[in-house]
Amino acid sequence: MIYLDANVLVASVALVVDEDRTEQAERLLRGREVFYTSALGDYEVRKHLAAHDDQHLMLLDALINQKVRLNIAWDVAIIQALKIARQFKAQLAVDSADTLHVGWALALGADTFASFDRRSGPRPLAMAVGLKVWPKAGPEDFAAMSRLKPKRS
Amino acid sequence: MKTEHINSTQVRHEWKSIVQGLASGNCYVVENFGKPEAIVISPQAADKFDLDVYFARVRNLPPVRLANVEITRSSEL
Repeated sequence: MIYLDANVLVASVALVVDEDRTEQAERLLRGREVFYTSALGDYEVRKHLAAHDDQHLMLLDALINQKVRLNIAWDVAIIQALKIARQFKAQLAVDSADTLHVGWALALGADTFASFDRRSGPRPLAMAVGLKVWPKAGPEDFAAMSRLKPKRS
Repeated sequence: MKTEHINSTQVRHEWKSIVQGLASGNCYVVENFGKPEAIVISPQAADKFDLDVYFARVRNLPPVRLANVEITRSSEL
């Protein structure tokens, strides 16, 4: 089961030419896996595309109604995100939304976290809690993950 | 293929018929006191989604240039 971060959803509903992201997202969605996203991801995509053509949002509706399962159970995701915060304590240099995305993926039982975001830290955090990442992890992901050493309480 | 609205009590007690429903192509909206909490799509329905048509529509729209295309989040608090 693959959890889709908002930036993967954006590349799935709009033509994002950077790094051929739409092409990569299409290849991912053509796989046989089960895809999930969250109310948070859905909201972030709608917010970021609000200034653009409404047709992108119609495509998002189609994608979520027919291909990607949407989970809106915030409470369970928040509990998981708070567990992550307690696990990593001060080492968690990842913001609330990213932590919540990773917590949501865990709450859903996903095995893979799909995100293009190599800057703000959700990928190494996902790896540190035992998830695989898509696109495949690179040296920068492993280097960032090594800085996330959990503290024992 | 149809979409049914169910609640978590039904998920617990009627899971066999829900599994059968999914196998025959039904989709489910799981609600909590009338508020949707999850949409469960049958694998058949997901398979029927025509990605060729879908991505042709995506590519037909002008490319999007977002200031924050990765949707990175800044540190807060």
